[in-house]
Amino acid sequence: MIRLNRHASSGLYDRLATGGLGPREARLLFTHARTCTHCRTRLDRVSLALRVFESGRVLEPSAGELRAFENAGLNAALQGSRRSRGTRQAFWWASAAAIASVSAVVTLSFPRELELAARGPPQTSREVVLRIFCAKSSSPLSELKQSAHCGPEEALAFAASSKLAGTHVAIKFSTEGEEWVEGPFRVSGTPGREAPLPLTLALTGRAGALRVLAAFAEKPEELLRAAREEDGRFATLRVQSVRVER
Amino acid sequence: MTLLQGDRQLLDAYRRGEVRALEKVYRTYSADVARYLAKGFALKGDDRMERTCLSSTDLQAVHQETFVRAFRPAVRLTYDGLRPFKAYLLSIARSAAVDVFRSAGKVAREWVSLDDAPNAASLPEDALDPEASALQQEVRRLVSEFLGARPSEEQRLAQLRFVEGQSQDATAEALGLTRGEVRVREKRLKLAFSEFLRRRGWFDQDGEPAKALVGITCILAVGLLPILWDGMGFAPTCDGRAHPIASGLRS
Repeated sequence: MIRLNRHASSGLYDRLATGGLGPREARLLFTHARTCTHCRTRLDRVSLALRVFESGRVLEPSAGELRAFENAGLNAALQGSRRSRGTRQAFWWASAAAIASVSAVVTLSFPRELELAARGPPQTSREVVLRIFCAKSSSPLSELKQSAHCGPEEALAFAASSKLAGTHVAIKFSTEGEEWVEGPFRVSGTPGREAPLPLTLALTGRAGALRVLAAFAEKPEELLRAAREEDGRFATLRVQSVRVER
Repeated sequence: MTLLQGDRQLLDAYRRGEVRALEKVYRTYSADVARYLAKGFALKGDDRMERTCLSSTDLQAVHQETFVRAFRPAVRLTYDGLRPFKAYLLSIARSAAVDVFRSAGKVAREWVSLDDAPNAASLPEDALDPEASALQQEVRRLVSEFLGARPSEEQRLAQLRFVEGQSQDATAEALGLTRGEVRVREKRLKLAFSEFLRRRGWFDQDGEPAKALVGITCILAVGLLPILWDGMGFAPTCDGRAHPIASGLRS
């Protein structure tokens, strides 16, 4: 999930008032407000004023709020439905994580060439590696090369490494109609001995191209700016496309 | 007949977890859940009653958590398609609200008896403490001041749309406008109100969240004030604290 680094702008409140907060903006605003007292207070005060303005009642959400709630929560609700698909899959996820861990220790000794193109400027470039795996319920993990495919009933797992200690990674996923960021995660592996990230992505319900961008940096704010593709000067980026198909 | 009761195919798709079905259910009931949560809850203990009203931020968190829970595979399968789905969903919403209150330490576990603690929708809104009431009055004064300075056409629009709750179509007919014009003017009016709030410093009053009505928690202690409700007396006082109940929720 992308998070705001600064206080929410006035424009977001204007769009809250008019019911114009889109899903991404609504998620950003509410997620940020949960952890930022300033924005939480401001958001709650503005919401209260809008309620009174529209209905005269403080316990009746405004139309803009209702729209924002709807937009903000849908993604999480659908993600939740995909993430916990019963005992069998829960067992599978645990197994996949275990396999990934063991693989990292025992077998993740990949060649050093990068499947993912480096985009960071030379002075900030560092040796970082992200590896993407397709997790199938009846097979070992298989690494996905550039534009390789993984089935819609399967899941992606990830391993990363960095030559520098203290590196973190955030991963941005982009599909045709959606994009979101997961992380940051601490990178504990070293090149050639990639360590699994505590992240899996169920592909249920997805199809087509999935762009995976990994941003590596030391500072979270630099990391998130890079992951959002706003400012990549202080991070090293890796990009790979994965196709979701049978 | 509710959405899922009247459509077997949709019910099956919902229970299978198909995205389109889930999204349809979500969009159909999202506002109902939000309105239900906004009214607050009464949680009954041995000798006292707590009414908790959610701030907008908390409300969104609980709203989201409600659907996350409702869409879990095991929970989807427990819906039999016979009971009214909305009531079923609202019971999940209430449970989610109580859980996050508990996790935030707002409600002691032994206090909660949901069966004996109906939600507080029937409590009057004016059952607020003086501080909360004052804030509410302050907002109303602001609204009144804002509208008083607007042209008469906009005042009429606000009257029809917000005070009387008329639809955009009905408002358009009453004002001799098209629906599109009403929509545009309404949007402008809301933006102007947002700007007005900003100019009046409403956005910038950081202060203590406790000073705001938002996030009010109304403690209804039996016997403190004799308000007869469900055969019991509950007295409202509001500490007004914004409680970080949502901090543990998914984003």
